[in-house]
Amino acid sequence: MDRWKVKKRFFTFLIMPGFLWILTFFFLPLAFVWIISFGEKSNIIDVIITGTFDNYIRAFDGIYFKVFTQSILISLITTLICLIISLPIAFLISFSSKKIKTLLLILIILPFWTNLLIRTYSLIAILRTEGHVNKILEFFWIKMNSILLFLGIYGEKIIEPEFMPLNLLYNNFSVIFGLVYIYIPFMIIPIYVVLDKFDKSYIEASLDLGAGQIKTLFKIIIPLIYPGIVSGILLVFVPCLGSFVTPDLLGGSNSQMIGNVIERQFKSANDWPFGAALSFLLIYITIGLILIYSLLNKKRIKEKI
Amino acid sequence: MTNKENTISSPCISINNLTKHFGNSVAVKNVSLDIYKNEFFAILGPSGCGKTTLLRLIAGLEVQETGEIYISNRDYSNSPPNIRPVNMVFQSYALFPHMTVRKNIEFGLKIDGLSKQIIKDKIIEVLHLVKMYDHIDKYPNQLSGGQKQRVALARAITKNPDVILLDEPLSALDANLRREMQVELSNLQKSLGITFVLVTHDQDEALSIASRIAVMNEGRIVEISTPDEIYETPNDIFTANFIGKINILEGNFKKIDDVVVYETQDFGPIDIPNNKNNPNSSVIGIRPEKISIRKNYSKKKNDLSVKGKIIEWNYYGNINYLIVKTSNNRDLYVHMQNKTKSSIKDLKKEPFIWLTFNVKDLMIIKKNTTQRT
Amino acid sequence: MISKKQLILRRGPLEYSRIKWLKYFTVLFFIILYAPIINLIIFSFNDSKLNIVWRGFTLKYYLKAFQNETLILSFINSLSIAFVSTIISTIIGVLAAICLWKFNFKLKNYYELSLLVPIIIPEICMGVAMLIFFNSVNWPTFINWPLNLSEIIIAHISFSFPFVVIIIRARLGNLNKVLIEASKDLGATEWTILKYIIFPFIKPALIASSLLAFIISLDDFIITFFTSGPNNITLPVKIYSMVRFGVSPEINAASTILIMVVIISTILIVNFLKYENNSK
Repeated sequence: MDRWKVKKRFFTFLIMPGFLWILTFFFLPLAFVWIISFGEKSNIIDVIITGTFDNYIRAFDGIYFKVFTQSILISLITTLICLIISLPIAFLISFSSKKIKTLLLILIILPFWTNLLIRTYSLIAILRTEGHVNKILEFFWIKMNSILLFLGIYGEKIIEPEFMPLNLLYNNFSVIFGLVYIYIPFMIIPIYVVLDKFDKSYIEASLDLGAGQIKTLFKIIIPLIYPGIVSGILLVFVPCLGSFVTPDLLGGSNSQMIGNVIERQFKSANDWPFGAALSFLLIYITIGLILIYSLLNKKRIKEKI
Repeated sequence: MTNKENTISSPCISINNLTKHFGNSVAVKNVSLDIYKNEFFAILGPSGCGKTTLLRLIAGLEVQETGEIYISNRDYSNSPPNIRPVNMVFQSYALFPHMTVRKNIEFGLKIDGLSKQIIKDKIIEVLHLVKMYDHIDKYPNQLSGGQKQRVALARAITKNPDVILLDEPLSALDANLRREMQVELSNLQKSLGITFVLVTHDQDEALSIASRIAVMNEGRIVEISTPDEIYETPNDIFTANFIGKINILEGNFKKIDDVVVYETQDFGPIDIPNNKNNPNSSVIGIRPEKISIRKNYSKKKNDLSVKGKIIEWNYYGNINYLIVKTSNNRDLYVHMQNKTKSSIKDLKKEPFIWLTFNVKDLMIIKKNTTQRT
Repeated sequence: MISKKQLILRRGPLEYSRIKWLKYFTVLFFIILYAPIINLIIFSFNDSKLNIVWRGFTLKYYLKAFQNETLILSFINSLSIAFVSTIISTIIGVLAAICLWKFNFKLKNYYELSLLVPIIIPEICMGVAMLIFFNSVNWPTFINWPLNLSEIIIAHISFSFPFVVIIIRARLGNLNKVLIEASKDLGATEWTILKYIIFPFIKPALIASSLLAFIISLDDFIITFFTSGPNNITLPVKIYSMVRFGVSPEINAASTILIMVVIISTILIVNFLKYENNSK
């Protein structure tokens, strides 16, 4: 590593573009958001900065607070489901032969390349009442009915019960399903990366010392791949919290998330200060989580040395 | 065929016809062997010969295609590693990095379901045994290689298994530490009375600490003997060449007037005393350290001499490794100890020297590699 | 010789990929993962406006899509934004990566962290920030292409170049500093080293990160949604407005086109990288 003072000109050339850009076109805009969050709508287009905390207070009020808690709950559930599904998958991939490993990794990353909107939209055709899931269920229902009818279960009444399609769309179920569907690669990849680097001889030592597979999993493997799991949790929870496309397309009238509320402030309700305050609350939550993460990390490193 | 029934004490480990492939290549080919209680048994061989795979098969970490594994007279051929009464010391030590030394050792004991007090006592006892008690609350990344090795050993010993398997445990240590640990391992095994099975590619290690050695090559067991037998009277060319070095004297056995004689290029016909083996499947060899270099021809009765020129000289401090070209254009390895400073200087000046050895030091070795039990 | 039957042996303790239920679970997972997208692509060829039941194969919705002027326009917008944003992100990103790799300076940690913030915070926050920013500074509303896309391009660059930095830095981590020292010893200046050693070395990472920046920009919806207006729509935003009107095969067609562009560019780049690798 060189010290920058030794080569001032070269250093400046390298650092200036990135530094200026991120300052001007990222942190400055964030500053504007922060400032506006202390403002008020004065008429349809103007905003006056009055230094008021009203917007933040409103965020914890009544329905908005309910939306906040619902968002956090939905994000938590999504993260948990992603975790439960991802662990076995990451395991299988990491313990497969090289060829299969590469194939499976490509298969996981490919949907990741697809637009968020398209992925969410594609779920509509599957989940709606005339959608594929219900069609398949209906098919099995009819088949089962004909078998039962044949066996005479219904006795003299030959009225077949009607198929009630499942209400899979426009409710919290579809929002969570959609979020899991979209964010699961973000959970699989960090866990897989850590698992791949994991020294398999620890597993062998544990088995050799008499531990069964399950004990080995919980006492040896999971504690040691913990950083990957935490990364995955962060990578899913944070974007989930701020999502609005998925609840918008797949959710019903009572599956609102913070993202939807924010979007409304800027597109229809035109209450920019309030939208800014809500956005900043999201940012605070994100930064808070990251601080907790790095503090926990420091603690772990301290314990080992 | 194993002769389990015939031995006085039945073997601690009994392996029958074990075979294991990795993909298209065979790692362990039809291996059968018996290891007895209290032995310090070494499996020795070059890299890739299958010795580690064999060890892992015993531990249960690999699954064999054919064959059975008996430990303490019970069939563990299809058992998973966690119920086999063996414990392994891994080459990389595999100490759990997120646990202290204490917890590492506690891990196996807890599984056995012992009471807290007994576990505590056992941990203290075993750490004193390996002289690592002072480090009981340290983490593995705070320990040196040698210290990690002791903890790994302690972790395996404390469970009091029937067998302890060691996978090249000393290969990562420097030469002096390695010698120290070899002695300690040997003493430890004797005092514990547990059967040790050690895998190594270091022949010095095997020769110095093992009570019996199995030489492996290309998935097969070449031969099994005690250290001195395996060195002095090897039954296979591979063994003779792998353990120590051997000069093979090319030639043929001939029968001349009811006497079996070995006809060589360099030394003419040699009358071999005590030739029991089938003559046509054997060759004659001599160890480099059994050959002495002199300025003159030896006139003693059982001595054979040949003239030669030193073409390579490697000085190793206490011993010299030389290659000498004989008058028949053969290269012979000679190991010469540094008895006096002057001896080297003198010999270096000579244009040619005489190589001499005693006929009694000749070794009769089988030509083909076969499996021996 | 071991017969084939004998080779199917008991599962080893670490052969987790052979556990039956795990295999079934993984297969099921991938089916569920791909079914919606494959379904979308298949139904883009469906001859039915309501697109509920399969009625027959047709290309007419693709034709309709190609005749939809705003759709084509939005597609061109998306591509232009992606190209410009990729080029600029890559340049800025490479310079920043080299700087971080080479130099140590006060507040370096803070700078590194600040480069990560754009990709950590929820996208919606960034979209909002850009919208407020451009509005507050009275960013001029250009009517003509390409300047009317300037706001979107700027937002995309802010979001993409941290990825470039991460990838290039990872690649630079593998560069043996001894090479640099040796060339300095032979009298090379910083610029020479940059041109003849560093750039060739990071070339594969450069290409990979450009591809990533391109796809991120092409696919982006949330940030673009906030920074775009009626005169600068991108393809994802256009698709969104179509979705609001209801499900139709035309949406499927437009979506499939977008998916194909992404897949094809990935395949092209990957093959290009392989070719580069082999020709060495």
